[in-house]
Amino acid sequence: MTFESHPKRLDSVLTRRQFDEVLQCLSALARKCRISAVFLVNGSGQILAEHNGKGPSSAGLAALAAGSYAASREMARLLNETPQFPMVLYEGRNQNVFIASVAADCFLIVVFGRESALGMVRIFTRKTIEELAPVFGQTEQEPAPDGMIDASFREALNRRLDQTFGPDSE
Amino acid sequence: MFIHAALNEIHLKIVYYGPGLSGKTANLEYVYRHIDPSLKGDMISLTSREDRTIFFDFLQLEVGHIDGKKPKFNLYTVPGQIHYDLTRKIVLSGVDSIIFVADSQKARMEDNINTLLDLEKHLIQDGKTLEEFPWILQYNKRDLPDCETLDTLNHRLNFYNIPFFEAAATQGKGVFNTLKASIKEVVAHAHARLGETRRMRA
Ligand SMILES: Nc1nc2c(ncn2[C@@H]2O[C@H](COP(=O)(O)OP(=O)(O)OP(=O)(O)O)[C@@H](O)[C@H]2O)c(=O)[nH]1
Ligand SMILES: [Mg+2]
Repeated sequence: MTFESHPKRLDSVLTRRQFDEVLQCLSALARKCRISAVFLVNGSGQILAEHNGKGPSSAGLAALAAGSYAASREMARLLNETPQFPMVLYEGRNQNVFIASVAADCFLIVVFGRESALGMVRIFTRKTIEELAPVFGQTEQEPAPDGMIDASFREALNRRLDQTFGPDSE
Repeated sequence: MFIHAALNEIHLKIVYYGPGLSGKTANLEYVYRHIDPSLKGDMISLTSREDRTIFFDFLQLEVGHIDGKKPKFNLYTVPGQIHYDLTRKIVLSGVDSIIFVADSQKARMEDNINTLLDLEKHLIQDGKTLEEFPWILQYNKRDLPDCETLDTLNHRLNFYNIPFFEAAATQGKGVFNTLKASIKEVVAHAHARLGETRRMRA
C-alpha cells in the first residue's frame, strides 16, 4: 500500500504479507502495554488491522478517530504548525484513546485503561510506528488481487441489493 | 476504495452531499432504522443542539458475502451549512461516490446550485472533476408543495445527464432506490478502475 501525496488519490490495497506484518506489530504492542485494543486505520477511516481484546466496536470508532485526526491536522495547518508526529490524546475516566500518525494517510488508534501507564504507551506506540514504517515504505502501488471485482461479483451484488433493499419502486 | 486482500474485503466510501437542511441526515436515519441489524453498525451523528450536522453522520453497511468477498459501504453525510467548508473537505477525503441531495423547493434552487459549485471546488482540489467522478442526484422533499418540476431541476443541476431520483426522505420514499443506485454505480466504477490498472500494468 502506498500513501503518496498524489493529487488523484490512488486506491489502496493491503496485501496478505503486509497484513501479517502489521498484525504482529499490533499484538506486540498490545502485549507489552496491556492495552485494550489497537487499530491501524487509513485516512478514510477504514480499518486495515486490529488487535481487539475486550475493546470497543470498531467501525464507528475508526470513523470518529479519522475525523478527529484530520481535524487536528487541519487545525495545525491553520496555525502554521507542521507537527512531526501528531498525536491526539483523549483521556476518559476509565479508558484513554491515543491517536498517532503512522504515514501520510494512516494512523494508529490505541485504546487503553488504568492498567497501562501513559508514558509506556507513548514510548511503545512510537516504537510500533517505526516498525510499521517499512511495511508501508514501498513506492510501488500494490496491484489489486485478480477478480476482486468482476462481472460475476457485480451481478451477484445487484441481486443481493434487490433482496436486501427491495426491488426498485416506482 | 480500499481492498483488504487478506480478509477479502472491499471498502467503499459514499458521501451524501447537499445544501443545509436538504435531508442528508434524514436519508441516513431512514436507512439505519429500516435495515436488518446484522447488516449495520452503530450510526454516529455529530450534531449541534439544533440537530444540524456539524461534522458528519456515519453508518457502515454490509450485505454479507458476495462471491466469497465482503463489500463494506461506509456512508457519510457532510454538514451543509456554508461555514463548515473545511469540515466538508475532511469528510470528502477518500470518497468513492457522491449522492447529491438537492432540496426540491423553489426557494432553495440557488442553494442547490451554490452547493454543487462548492462540491466541484472540493473535487478539483483533489484532482477530480464532476464530469468524471461518479455521482448521482436525489431530488428530495417531493412531498412538499411549491417544488420545482423535475424538468427545471434537471435543467439547472443535471448538466451531465446522470441518474436522478425523486425522494421524500422522512417518509422513506426513494431512499433505498437512491442508495442502491449509488452502490451499483460505485462498484461499476471500481470495476472499471481495477481493469484500467491491470491494463496499465500488462
Ligand atoms: N417534508 C419533508 N421534510 C424533510 C424531508 N427530508 C428532510 N426533511 C426535514 O428537513 C429538516 C432537515 O433535514 P436533515 O436531514 O437534518 O438535513 P441535512 O441535509 O442533514 O442538514 P445539515 O445537517 O444542516 O446539512 C428536518 O426537519 C427533516 O425532518 C422530506 O423529504 N420531506
Ligand atoms: Mg445533517
